[in-house]
Order: sequence, then C-alpha cells, then structure tokens
Amino acid sequence: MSEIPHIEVKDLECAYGDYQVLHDISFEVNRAEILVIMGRSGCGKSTLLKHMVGLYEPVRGQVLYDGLDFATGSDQEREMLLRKFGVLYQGGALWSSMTLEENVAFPLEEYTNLKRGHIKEVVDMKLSQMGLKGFQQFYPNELSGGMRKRAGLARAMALDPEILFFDEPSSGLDPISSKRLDDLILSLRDLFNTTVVVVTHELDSIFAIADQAVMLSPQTKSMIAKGNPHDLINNSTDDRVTEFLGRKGGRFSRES
Amino acid sequence: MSKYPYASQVELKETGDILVIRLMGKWVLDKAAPSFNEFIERGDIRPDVSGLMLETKNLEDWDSSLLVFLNQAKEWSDGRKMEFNCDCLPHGLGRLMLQTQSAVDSRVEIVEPKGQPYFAEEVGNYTISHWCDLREFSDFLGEIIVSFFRLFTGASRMRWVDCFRSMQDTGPMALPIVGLISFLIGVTLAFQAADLLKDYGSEYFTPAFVGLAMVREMGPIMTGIVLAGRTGAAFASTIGSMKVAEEIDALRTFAVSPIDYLVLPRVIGLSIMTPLMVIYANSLGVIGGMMVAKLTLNMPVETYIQETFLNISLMDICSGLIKSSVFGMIIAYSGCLRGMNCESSSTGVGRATTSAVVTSLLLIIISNSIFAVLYSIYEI
Repeated sequence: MSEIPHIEVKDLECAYGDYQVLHDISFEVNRAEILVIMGRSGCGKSTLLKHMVGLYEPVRGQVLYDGLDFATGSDQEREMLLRKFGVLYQGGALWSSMTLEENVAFPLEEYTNLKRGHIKEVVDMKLSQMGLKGFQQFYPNELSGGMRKRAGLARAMALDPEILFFDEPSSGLDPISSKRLDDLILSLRDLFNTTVVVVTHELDSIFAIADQAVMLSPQTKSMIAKGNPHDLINNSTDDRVTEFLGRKGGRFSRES
Repeated sequence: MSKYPYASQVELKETGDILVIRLMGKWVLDKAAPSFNEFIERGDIRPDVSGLMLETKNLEDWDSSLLVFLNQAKEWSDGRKMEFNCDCLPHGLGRLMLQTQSAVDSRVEIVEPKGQPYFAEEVGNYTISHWCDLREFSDFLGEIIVSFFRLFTGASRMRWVDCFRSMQDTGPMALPIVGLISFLIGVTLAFQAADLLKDYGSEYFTPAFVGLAMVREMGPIMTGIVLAGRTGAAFASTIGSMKVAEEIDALRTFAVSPIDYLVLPRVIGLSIMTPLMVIYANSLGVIGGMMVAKLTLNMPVETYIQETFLNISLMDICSGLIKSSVFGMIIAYSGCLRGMNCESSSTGVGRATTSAVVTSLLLIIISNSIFAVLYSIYEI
C-alpha cells in the first residue's frame, strides 16, 4: 500500500538568521495518527512546530501535506492548507481586544458563509465543549491561564480542522485538566480522524496519547529518535532517549 | 592557622599532601562569610598538595552561603587536578553540591559572548544593521502598498469596523489634548506677532500671521507630534504585545495577513483622521490668536476673522491638510512597523514604543522639510 502520508517532513533545516536550530529532520505522520515532538527545554520543539505550520520558512527541506509543499505552494494553496489547520499556542494566544465569543467566531466569519445566529450557536457549542459555557462575553484577561488555553482550543477547533497542532498543551494546566485534554485529543482522533501533532515534554501525556514520537536533542540540534514511545523506552540503545523517557536524572536520581 | 572576623569560621591544615579545610560556626547568608579564593590566597599553600578534604564536625548551621564556598573550593581543586574529598559533608549538603555541579550540562555548547569588537568590525556591524533597517522599512512599506491594492480587488481581509475603531481612538479621543495645545500655540504666536508688528505699526497683520503660521505649519506639525506620542506609541505597544502573546502568529495560521488585519485599518484610519484633526487644531489656534488680539490689541472679533480669511487662501489650507494626511500615514506606519518587529519580551515592547515615537517624529520633520521645498518650487 503506497498511501501518501498526511504530513511529511523531509530533511528540514530550521534557523533564525545565522543561528541554526535544527537540521536533518525527517519524519512522516499518517492520517489520524498522533505525533509527539519531545525533547529537553531549548531543543527546538516549538521552532519545529512553527516551521510545520508555515510561520517560518525552512532554510532547507520541505514540509509536505498530502504531498503538497507548504513553502512553495501558491497563496491559494497555502490558504487552503491553513484552513485545515488548527493551532493551539502555548498561552492560548487569544486576541485580547475581542471577547471569547468573538475570538471563536473569527475563523467562522472568515471562512464560512454561516449566518450570524448560526455562528453564535456553533461558538456556544464549542465553548461549552471546553467547559466555558457562560463565559462568552468575557475578555481573555479576565480568565485564568487554563481557561484561556481551553478557549484557545475552542478557537483552534472552530473549523473542525483536519490537523491539530498543540504547543505544550499541558503547561500551566493542573493534572486533572491535563488528563482531560489528553482524553479529548484521543477522542478527536477517534471520532473525526484528526491528525494531531503535539509538542510536549510531559511524560504522562507522551505515553498516554502518542502513536509516534520524535525526539530532538539540543546537543546535536537534530532528531535522535523516532518511533512509538513504549518501544523507544524498551528498545532504544541511546542513553539520552531512555534517560528522558525513563525520567532517570543520571547522577541525581532519587536515592532509595 | 588563621582566625577570621566572621560568624562562620574556617581553618586550614596541611596533613601530608592533603589540605584539610575545617568549617565551623554558622554559615548563613545574612552574616558575611569568608570567600574561598581570598582565604586560599592568604593560606600560602604548598604546590605539592594532591587532595582537598573538608571537615564539618563543628559546623552549626548552613545555607547557600556555604554552598558558594564549597563550589569555589571544588572549582579550585578541579583546576589543580586535586582530589576533592567531600565524604565528611552533611548528607544533604553533599547531595546539593552534586546537583549544582550536574545542573551545568557539559554536553550543551555555550557560545562565548564576543568581546569588544574592533573599530572596523563595529563600523561594519553598524552599516549592516542600518542596511537591514532600511530593508525592513521598505519591505514593510511594500507590504502595506500591496495590501492597499488588495483592498480594491476584494481579496483583503481588512474589516472597515477596525478602521472606524482606530479613527475613533485617534480622533475624538485626542480632541482635548490637540485642542489645548493648538489653542496655546495660537496664543503664543499672537503674542509674538503682536509684539513684533507693533514696533512697525502693522499689528493689523497679526491675524494673517497667526492664521498662515497655524494653517501651513504649526497646525499639521503640532497635531503630528501629539498623535505620534499618543497614537503611534499606542499602535506600537498594542501590536508589540500581540506579537509577544503569539496573537499575530495565531492570525497568520488562520491565513489572515496581519498587515491586512492590523496595519492597513490603522494606516487608513489615521491618514483620514489627521487632516480632520488639523482643521480642528487650526480653528483653535486662530481662536487663541483672536483672544490675544482682542485683549492686547483691542481688535474686534469680526475684524480678526475678516483679516484671517482675507489673507489665507484655500491653497494654504489644503497644503497643510495634504501634509497632515502624509504625517498620519507616517505615524501609523512607524507605530505598526515597530510593533510588528518587536522582540518577544516586555522590554522589547518598551523599546518598540520608544522607537515608534522617535521614528515618526524624525520622519515627520524630514517630510515636512521636503514639503517646504516642494511647495516653494511649485509656489503653493
């Protein structure tokens, strides 16, 4: 079976100006698969994600969606691709001058021909799904960090995207909310066949949701492991991978 | 053996080729503790010592103060390739030391900060950075122009409601401050003119002087300056904060160009609003002049108004208004440019705001001079 992967990253090299952050990154994600990009702080996880969603142009290499290169695509092609993306940023990135309702309604107003009343219904539904019923008229600065993140997710999911990107979804969330978010990610995948790319270093989440994981290293500035996290922890011969996944802190692991 | 004037005490003893450091007393941060390096320099150590041992039998109390000392000791002994024996340290302290050492990840390369660059290097860096600035300037201008044309093809995502909102913020909200400043400028001009012209017996030219000065120069310039400080700064800080909070990225990933959505409404709004503000500023300047003429020269209001309109042509008014529209664009352009190029930190937003005001003032003054030359060539 020679199915084209939903997302394919080929020999990607990322840099900010002269400063190289990552090189030789290659992996594939199939439809309805959950990929976790993991690694220690500062290894370029978020940078990789931002290159995947087209916020930065790669120095070298390609990011292909169903075989279509994002960077070299025409404006129409890019817009068509972006329409299929939903991105949840670290802090939620809600537009602070708009209420929650306006934030979630924005993509619907931009991309659909729905009537105002219908948009409102969809927005209400999306917000209730995230446990934010009744907060429609609140501004982002009136909410807690966790609520902002959930509202950000409601906005990211407004157009029922085919691919969802999460940048550190569980940072700033309590363990229960974080677990709920993991469950939500799994059910989105199961119900809507959504492909999910998650940047995280939360081990619980990694083992709970990942079909596939890619591990980046700040030392080599490249990918050091690829595969299912359960297989990686059992079979990897690389100390850095088992140390990370097994939470073995080398010399300072807890003495029993 | 040496006694130190500290609550914490340390002694040095050499047994064979092992250096024993005895730590005693209270090692706490609110009491000055001896520095290891200072201590070791005074100690006159034999060059052939091969190990360092710590003794803590009489140590009473300790916190980070002791840790600093121990880390220096470790560094010193590592530097001399000596054995560092910390077996006698209290259990928690040894563990803490180990963690401090291992927190420094030897596998991560640390880029050494560059020292002071040479003169030529500095000139080069400066030139490159200004060249990049210039490119940024023109890139951004180009993007705005493209976005403006997209507006006519219907492909733009600009919302007129944002444009009106920016007009509301920059116009009516700024009326009190613009009004006050223009009124006072009118008053000042009238005083100066009346004083000077009285000597020549031609104080009846005061309305003409105040009117022309306001309409052609002072009205547009003062409004420009007030709006640069008020609105330009607000644009830069708003857009800058949005960038820090990834709100701009969020727009981009919804395929909405931040230029269409954030910049264009502001540029259009301000370029429409500034001339309107200038008309208002001009009127208040003339009223200021009129009051002075009435009070000091006893000139009737009707005469003042008549004299003003006799001496100001429509062309004079238009020349000021055209200029002010350009100033409006400059202010919005600088504010948005600095906001969009803001670094991702709170100090970055501060810097962007400052830089927006400075850039717009500079560009206003430069463009005003260009207008002066052009107007004089075309005799406007």
